[in-house]
Amino acid sequence: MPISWLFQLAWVVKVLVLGYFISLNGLCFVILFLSICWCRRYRRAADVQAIDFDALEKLEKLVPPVTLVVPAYNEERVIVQSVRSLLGITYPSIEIVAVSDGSTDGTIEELIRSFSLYQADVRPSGALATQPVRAVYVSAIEPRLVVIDKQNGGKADALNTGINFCQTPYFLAMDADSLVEPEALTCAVRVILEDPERVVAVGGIVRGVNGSIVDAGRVRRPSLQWNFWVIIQMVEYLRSFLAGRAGWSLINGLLIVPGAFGLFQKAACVKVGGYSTDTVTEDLELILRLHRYARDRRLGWRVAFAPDAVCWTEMPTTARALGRQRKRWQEGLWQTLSRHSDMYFQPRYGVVGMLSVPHHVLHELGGPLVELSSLLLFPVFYSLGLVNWEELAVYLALAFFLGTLFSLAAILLDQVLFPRHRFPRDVLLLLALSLLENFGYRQMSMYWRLVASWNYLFGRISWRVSTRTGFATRAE
Amino acid sequence: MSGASIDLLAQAVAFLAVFTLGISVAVYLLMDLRHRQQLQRQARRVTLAAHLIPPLTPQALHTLWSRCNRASRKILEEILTDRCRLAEGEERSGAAQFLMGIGIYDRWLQEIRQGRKSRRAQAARKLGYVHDRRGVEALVAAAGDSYALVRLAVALSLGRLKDPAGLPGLIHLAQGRTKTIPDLTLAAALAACAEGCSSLIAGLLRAPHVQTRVIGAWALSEVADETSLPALSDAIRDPDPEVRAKVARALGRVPEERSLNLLSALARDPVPFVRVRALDALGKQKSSAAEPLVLGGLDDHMPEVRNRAAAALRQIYGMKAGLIAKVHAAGSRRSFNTLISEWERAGFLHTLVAGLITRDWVRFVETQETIRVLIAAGMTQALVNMVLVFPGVKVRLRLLRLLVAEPRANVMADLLALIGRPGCDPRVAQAIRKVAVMSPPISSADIKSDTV
Repeated sequence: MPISWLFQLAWVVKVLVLGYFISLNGLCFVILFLSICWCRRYRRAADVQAIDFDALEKLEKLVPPVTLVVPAYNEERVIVQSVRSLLGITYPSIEIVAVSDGSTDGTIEELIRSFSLYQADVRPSGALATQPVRAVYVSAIEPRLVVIDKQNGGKADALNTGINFCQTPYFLAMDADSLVEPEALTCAVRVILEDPERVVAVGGIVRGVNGSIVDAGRVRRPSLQWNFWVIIQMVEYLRSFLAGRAGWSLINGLLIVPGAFGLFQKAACVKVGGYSTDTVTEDLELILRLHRYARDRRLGWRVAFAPDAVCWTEMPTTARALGRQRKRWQEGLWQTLSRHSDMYFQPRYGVVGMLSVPHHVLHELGGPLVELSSLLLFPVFYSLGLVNWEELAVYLALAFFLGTLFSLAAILLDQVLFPRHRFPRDVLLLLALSLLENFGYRQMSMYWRLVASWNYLFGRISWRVSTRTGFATRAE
Repeated sequence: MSGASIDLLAQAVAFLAVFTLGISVAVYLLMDLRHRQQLQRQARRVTLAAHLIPPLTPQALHTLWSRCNRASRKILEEILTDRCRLAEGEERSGAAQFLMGIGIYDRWLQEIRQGRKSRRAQAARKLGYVHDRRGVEALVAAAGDSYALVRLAVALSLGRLKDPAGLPGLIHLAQGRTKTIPDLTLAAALAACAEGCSSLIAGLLRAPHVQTRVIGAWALSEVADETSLPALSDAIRDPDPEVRAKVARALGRVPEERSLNLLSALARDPVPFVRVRALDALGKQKSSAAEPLVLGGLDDHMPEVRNRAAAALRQIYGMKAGLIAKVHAAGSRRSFNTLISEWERAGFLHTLVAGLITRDWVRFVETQETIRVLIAAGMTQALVNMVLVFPGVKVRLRLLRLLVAEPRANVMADLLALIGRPGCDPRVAQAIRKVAVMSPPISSADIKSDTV
């Protein structure tokens, strides 16, 4: 009897794993195909440059002004360089609102010293609820800069404060430790302006700045740091953005706009109540609320992706730091998807309800559980003779092959359509790591996600602070 | 499973592994080859560009062209096209004449009519770099192209050429409502071509489609003059608020009494962003006749409108200190706060405090009065901070004198707190200590409430 029970269990596990495997890879293939179509189309349109300040001088007066909201918490090492990089953006009409979220280091002092700030009686025009503002500073030398010092309330709270002080129709939410390419904002605005009635949010692409030469707030020579964790993240980022989000953007199922570069319509964000301060992935939660609000009211809003709007950010360089980041993301995913659980398989939410959210629930949240159970149970079943090794080998080989194929496609798309890393050594490193990531890294990633799931389910969520080392400059 | 099937399976797994590895190697080799080709091409481009410094005579350019192989000619064409795009004066006209003389321009004309769609788009783009009647005609004809990117390139090129002869093409595009071309790109192109002859595009305001009217109004907002006033005055009653907002922007360009009357109607529009645009336009007109209207906007229930009214006052009077006292005396607390907030964002306080060392007596007295008004309104925190950070000790000491002259709650405490802060000048610190000894601290209970 026990053997027959085990046979049934083995059969159920096999069916589950097979179903998971087919649904995940099938969907990824479809999304990859859509991504390729979309990236090609986007590249062709980008080549003609619909927003060309060089061709049409009058465009400089007509483009909508954008406020760059820069939340900062203890970022004294990078904040000045980040603000300088933002001031160098080629977009003609920008304002910068830097929000120090109760920093305990010299973030505010660094800004005061570098930009001759002085305290002013500037009041917010928005009414999103936030922690109290301690002081508002304006610059004697840079009229586009406003700095807000507020009590600590988390990144979402700082962003909401920035939105309250924003006086433009669009704002760019970003991280203080990120460097934005000079053309990035124009690229993102172009996506909005092609359909200004419907596009309410545009996400850019995040790339790792580690190893690149940075000078005067700009990435002068992109290069890869000789660090396993950095390169593996680059492969992951390319796969996620170019072989994933591009395709989701085409069918308006995009759920994630990166916190490091997200351009939003201010009115839309205010309508949905701004960022939620009780989640750890506020960007994902905001996008889901935008989708929900739009579909409930049949507004036809879209969330789009701009692959040439590049934002360079410092990536974790150790397994420990990377693990902390991944756990936070997974916890945030749990929180957000639980909050919006009524959207699952709801036809009224269209692609988001029927495809994007279920994909994230089944494959992103459920994935580690399925992978762990298959890793644990298959050897047991094999030792009991319930499965044969050929089946196991086929499964592992296919998993490896398909995983690598998606990474290779992303690297190819990147190199052909949106190249940044031009050195053959960098390409070789990316390719090598795309082959190796299945051995060890994937299992570690699964472990972090499982721990995060455990933390979420048993109530041990906390915001994990990462330490910054500052950007490598030419002199260094 | 039989031995044969196991072998088959092993072969399949091996095949997949080799296949994956093969793809990786192929991708690497492809990228490496591409990288090398790009480097070679860049090197060749630099060499050819070096030949063109200083600009060659037409004969020398022809000689260089005849010596080049096919690949080098392509690069030379690119360099000369870039020169037409970026250079000025003789250098630009020389490059344009060469491109025409050698037959490259004719090839572009042919490509825009008969080429494949990507070629047509490229040709449409390049025709915008060289001004010639044939090119404008070809671009106008291409405005009806079936491929959206060609139409986008046509709009950009016609806008770049700034030739009124290109207007029919742009008007055709505006009426065609192509999604690939952003409205503002088309508006900018129309405005570039219609500079000085705005009446040519005023007809777009009567188009049946909202988007066309928006584009027309937007273009007019950059080139409108008194000739477009009749069309604009009709359009202020447009049912679409977007059109009315753009019309308000256009009216801001027409410095006439009639436009002021039209703007006053739009400043009372039920839609807030139309009011915002109307106030913006009133600010741009810089006419003091608009003052009552703008002051009314300062008390609007929408914060955006109030902010814009404050910005408009700044545009009209240039952050005139006397206006602060006027609004303080006449307006509500909300108006006053909005005005201060918006102006301070533009650096008002710094400019104001700098007036304490001016030799212009009238401005000096006005500055002192305004600072007293700010102190009376309870806005002391920023002023106290100025005592610490303003560059110039003389100004800081004068500001300090004004601050202690007006008895306000917590001012003395705030000033005393400055003494310990880094960057506090010893002379300022000494002065603060001195006045602290002379005047006893005032509690908030001794002060009347800050009502305006």
